[in-house]
Amino acid sequence: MKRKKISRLLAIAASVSLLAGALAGCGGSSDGASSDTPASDTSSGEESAAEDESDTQETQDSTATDASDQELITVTLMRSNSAAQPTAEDNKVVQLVEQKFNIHLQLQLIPDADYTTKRSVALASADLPDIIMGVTVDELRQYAPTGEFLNLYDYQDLVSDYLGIVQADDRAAATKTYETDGGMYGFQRLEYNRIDLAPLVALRMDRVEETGLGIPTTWDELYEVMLAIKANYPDQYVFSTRNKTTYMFGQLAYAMGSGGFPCFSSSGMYYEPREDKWLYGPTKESFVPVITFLANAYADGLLDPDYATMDKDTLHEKLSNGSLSMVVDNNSFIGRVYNPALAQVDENAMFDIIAPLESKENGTKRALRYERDWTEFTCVNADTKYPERIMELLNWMYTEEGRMVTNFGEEGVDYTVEADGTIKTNPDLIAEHQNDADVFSGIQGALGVGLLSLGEYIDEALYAEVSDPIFIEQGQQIREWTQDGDINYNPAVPYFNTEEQEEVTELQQAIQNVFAAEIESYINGQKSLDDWGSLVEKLESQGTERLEELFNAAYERSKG
Amino acid sequence: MRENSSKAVKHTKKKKSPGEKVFSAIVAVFLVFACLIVIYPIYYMFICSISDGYAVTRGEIWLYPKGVNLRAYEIALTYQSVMRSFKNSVQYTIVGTLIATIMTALCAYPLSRRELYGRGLFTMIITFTMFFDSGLVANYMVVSSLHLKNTIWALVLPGAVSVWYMIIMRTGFQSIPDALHESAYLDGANDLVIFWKIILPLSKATIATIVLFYAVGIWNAYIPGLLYLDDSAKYPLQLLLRNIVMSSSAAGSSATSVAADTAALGKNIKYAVIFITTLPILVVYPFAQKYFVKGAMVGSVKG
Repeated sequence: MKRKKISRLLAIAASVSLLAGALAGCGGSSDGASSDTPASDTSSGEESAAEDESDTQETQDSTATDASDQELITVTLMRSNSAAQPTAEDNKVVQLVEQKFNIHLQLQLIPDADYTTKRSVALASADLPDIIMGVTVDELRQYAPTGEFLNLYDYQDLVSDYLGIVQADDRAAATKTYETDGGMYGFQRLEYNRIDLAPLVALRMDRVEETGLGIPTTWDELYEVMLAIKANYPDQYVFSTRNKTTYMFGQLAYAMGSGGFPCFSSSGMYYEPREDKWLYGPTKESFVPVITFLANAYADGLLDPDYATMDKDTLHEKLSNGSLSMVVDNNSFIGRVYNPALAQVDENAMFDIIAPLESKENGTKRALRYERDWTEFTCVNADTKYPERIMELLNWMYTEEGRMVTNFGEEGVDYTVEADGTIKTNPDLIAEHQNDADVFSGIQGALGVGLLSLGEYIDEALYAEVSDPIFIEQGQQIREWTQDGDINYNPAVPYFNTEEQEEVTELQQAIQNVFAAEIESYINGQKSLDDWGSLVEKLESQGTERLEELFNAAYERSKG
Repeated sequence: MRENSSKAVKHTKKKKSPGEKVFSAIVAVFLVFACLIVIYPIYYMFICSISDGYAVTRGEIWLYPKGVNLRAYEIALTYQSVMRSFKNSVQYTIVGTLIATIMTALCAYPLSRRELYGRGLFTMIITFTMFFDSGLVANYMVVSSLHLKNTIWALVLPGAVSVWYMIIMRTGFQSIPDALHESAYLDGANDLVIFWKIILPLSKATIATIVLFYAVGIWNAYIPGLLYLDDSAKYPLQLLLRNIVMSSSAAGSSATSVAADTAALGKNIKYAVIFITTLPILVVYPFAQKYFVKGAMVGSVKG
């Protein structure tokens, strides 16, 4: 009996302790808030507000004398955290913002690989931090009408610097496409000074030299060069691209005078500057030279048959070990990946980009580069307790002072400005990060600056100091080609209303299904190019003309 | 007697037919091959992690390392978050496994007793949750509303009872003869005593298996950490590991600047991090294996 009682008591005690443990867990979030202050609670919960006040008091005593007259507040900010550039939690930008604005930025650094999931759940559940970075155009358009974000136009006086930049002549048209229901619900991440980047044809120059043919200037000449390389290296294929077939079309089609699948897009729609219209590329006559080029390249053993499954790592492996001699990809990979790896096995081997090629058939000489600026936005939670102060802070990031802080850190400590205006990073800082996986990323992550940290108005000048000179040379070259009109920026997709968006999504899906099902057979020769017209008919029957109509109507509307 | 039986064994061995020998040889080759399939990826990862980064990029490493160096490990270990997350993961795994195993056993035991009133109904209700999930957003809102976010409890409580493991455990408990239960009752024991003194000691293999299942599950889980934690100081290791492994493809998807393009880790660094983080579970597994094999067979043979 006694044993029975003890057992019962033990059981009750175990249950109570378990329950108490669970309840302690429930209370843990608020108890822990004073030190760890969970983001969402800070701006919404009463308890957290009180905690904020006590935090304020504590921190006010210890903060620098530069702090503004306003009370210290804690503002939560969610952004992605790159594995290659981990942002330090208490970084220089956070410290300088606190000194200047009396705002303590509590960073919620979400792993980059899963930031989309985290952001989607936070947006869908309306459980947001005060500031959320990296919001896509689609998310902006989907959630702005639900009232989750503050409208910048309601705070025009506080965000005048930002508006001044995005409403200037060079950006006004693009900015218009990001408006939702007449409102502006996010700060776009903008470029101030960028090392220019574009997906261009890159060739093994040593092998081109071996052929004695010279640098090609037309697509036909390029084909001749590739055939000559193949003759010299019959056991190897000559070129491929990464990310499978549609990406390959994206890299080649526009440059060959046609278009479709531009810059990671899975849609065949592209903007044709000659007609000032949006077109569905694959059904146009101008696309025939593109598919012919690829089909011939496959038949002649120039195109690596693994192109349809090629991922980035495999492609880089083949380019780095000499298995391939041509690629169409970002110039940034050349100095960082292919050339250093090749140099270890053959010191003469090197890739370099060539100028945009002329297409005889389509009468063009052009290439496409990524959109100007970034199509991602920093939005402010409509439920935040501090709308004005947050708007003021974000606007500051686009001012001269804010731009310098969020790209280079603290003047006189992390960098100095030379007499001619060039920015010189503190050599000690560079030395400190010399053994990091990447010097540039190491410095930026530690300071919390730049594109992958807290920068909003991006200046990549630091790159010039720490990178392979070929990067900078190529960047300047690309800028010149862009200024000459040989390289065009990929424009933003026009804004559709909800009904249009649904129709566009449906049409694009149906069209893409047909395209994806048949395109390989035209490249690998299972189907003759004489039958290309039948695929065009099938694509048209899925509604390519209607799709163009929708795009162009929205485009005309965006022109105002 | 023992001598005789060993002689008998010897005798049997001698009498192995050529067919049996061939069969044994094929089985041995097959097993060696199966072992290689399992071991090679780990070995490959290791030799890449200690090789020259460019040699790895060129795809030259497959049998032995080239340009041996420990730079990848030096870089991997400079990630202060690796050690911090490692500690977090150990904590989450221990607490989570303990809670999950206790809760599962407490649920499995009553459902294993035939005399429980409404046993079928309870089983049906519980099993229902195995097939129909409320979804990511709903779960997130529940956890958030309960103020569990940013606490260890957000990671260990929502998944405390896996229905599948509960069924395995219940089946294990059911395989213990009723006679033991009845005699304990006659001796004056109540259900708690029976559970504690008879059922649990006789279910060591089952419990060890479930512990292992839960521990591996919690150790490998990254979604709860991603959703319910905002403070990177509390991230589990797997979340960090996934970010490192996926870093090149993430950069690729947003490759609209030099910064994003170049901010990709070398393969050797990734492999070094993977190796460091998988080592603990690789070390623990062989010791738990005997229980694992025994426990996994629970309920497979009736009678």
